[in-house]
Amino acid sequence: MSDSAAYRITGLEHRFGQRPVLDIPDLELPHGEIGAVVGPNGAGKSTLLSIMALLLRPTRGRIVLDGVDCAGGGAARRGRLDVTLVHQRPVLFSTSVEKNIAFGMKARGVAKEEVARRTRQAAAEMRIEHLLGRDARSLSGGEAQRVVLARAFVLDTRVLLLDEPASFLEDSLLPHVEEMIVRRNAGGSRSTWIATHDAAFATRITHRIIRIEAGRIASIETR
Amino acid sequence: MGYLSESFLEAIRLMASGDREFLACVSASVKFSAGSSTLASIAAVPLGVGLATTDFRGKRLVVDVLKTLLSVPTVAVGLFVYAIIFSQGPMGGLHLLFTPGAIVIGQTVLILPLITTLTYGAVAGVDPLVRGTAQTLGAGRWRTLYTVAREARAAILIAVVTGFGRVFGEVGISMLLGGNIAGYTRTITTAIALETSKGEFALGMALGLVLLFVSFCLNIAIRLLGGARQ
Repeated sequence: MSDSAAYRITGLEHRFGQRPVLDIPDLELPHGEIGAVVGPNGAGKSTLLSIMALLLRPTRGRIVLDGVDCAGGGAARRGRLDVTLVHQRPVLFSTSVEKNIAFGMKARGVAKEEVARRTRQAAAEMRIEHLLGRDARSLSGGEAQRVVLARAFVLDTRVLLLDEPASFLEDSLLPHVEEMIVRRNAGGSRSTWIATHDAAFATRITHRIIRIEAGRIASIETR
Repeated sequence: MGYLSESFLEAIRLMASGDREFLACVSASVKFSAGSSTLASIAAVPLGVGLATTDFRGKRLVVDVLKTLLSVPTVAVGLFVYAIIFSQGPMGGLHLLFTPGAIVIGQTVLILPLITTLTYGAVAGVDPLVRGTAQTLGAGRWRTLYTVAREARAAILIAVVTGFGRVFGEVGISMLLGGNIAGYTRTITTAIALETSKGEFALGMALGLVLLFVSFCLNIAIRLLGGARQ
């Protein structure tokens, strides 16, 4: 096993009730990669991302993130500071767009002026500066998706997990988001994993494509 | 039927003239209800939030017990608190019986399960992804709880207002624990019971109108808060 692995997953099993949804005996994901998790609906892509985000504790198995076993609650909480997951459906808090984008930075204790500066910068990047003062509940699906992406990108965590990021995004903005992902990974210390069923999106920018079928890894394609 | 209209007119006159006895009862009811709603909310809102966001063995049983407590009659709660605070009871040394404090304690006990249950329902109804989103953005345990509760803030406020409405209109606890002492522990409801038993319909009706008005205002508040929630 390589020391540069972002994730080492061993003996992973997850069940919802009695129904098995994931069975991954061994998986190692190096740092600096942009990867895609592809597969049909219900294959277990979102579940795998939730487990990688340390939000969902697997029924069995070990998740080692940056060399730290994240089995315990405390380790998982600390590990979450290095991982950001954008859910398939844009979830915004019922406050302003500005406060939504600033949420993660405030949770990390970033100084007020820095929060304001980075919030404006992230909004400009996602072309939503005009929405900053708006109530997040009043946004359209596409606008909401831009806000959740801005909120995730601004944290610049070592790992970024995107669950179907294109589903609510306008087609015209997709190349820009792809460019942001590539730029973020350019230094080699960041990883981005994208669950998608959009084959074109998966192949354009990714180094590795993991195909999941019925909760099991069917193939891993390295590019 | 003439006495009804006469009583109604007398009630209007009492309210308009600012009758001292009338105002004392209204003031006592507002103070006791506000005190008990505040005390109950301080305990019940965190309890409801904690219950909704924590999984533990026996959670369903706790919720079932809380729901059962919603239907306990006010006199039963009054009797329970009476047994604790009367002179021979475990808290008899505090001499609380027939004081405003006794009423506030009794009313707090009455609405604690109500506000807890309503808060639990409100927070349990929040989109589960809100919690995951707060966590993945780096929020610790308390900030996550606060964020989830904040999403249910309108419904939690409705729970508190509903609790206020429940104690504002109760009579069993006020009568049993307060003793219906004029100018001290006499509330709107205990005064209505007393005045009606004396055949003094006018004051009883004036107080009844205040109860109706407050109930109307609470309903408006709940409707507006419900609108804000949506």
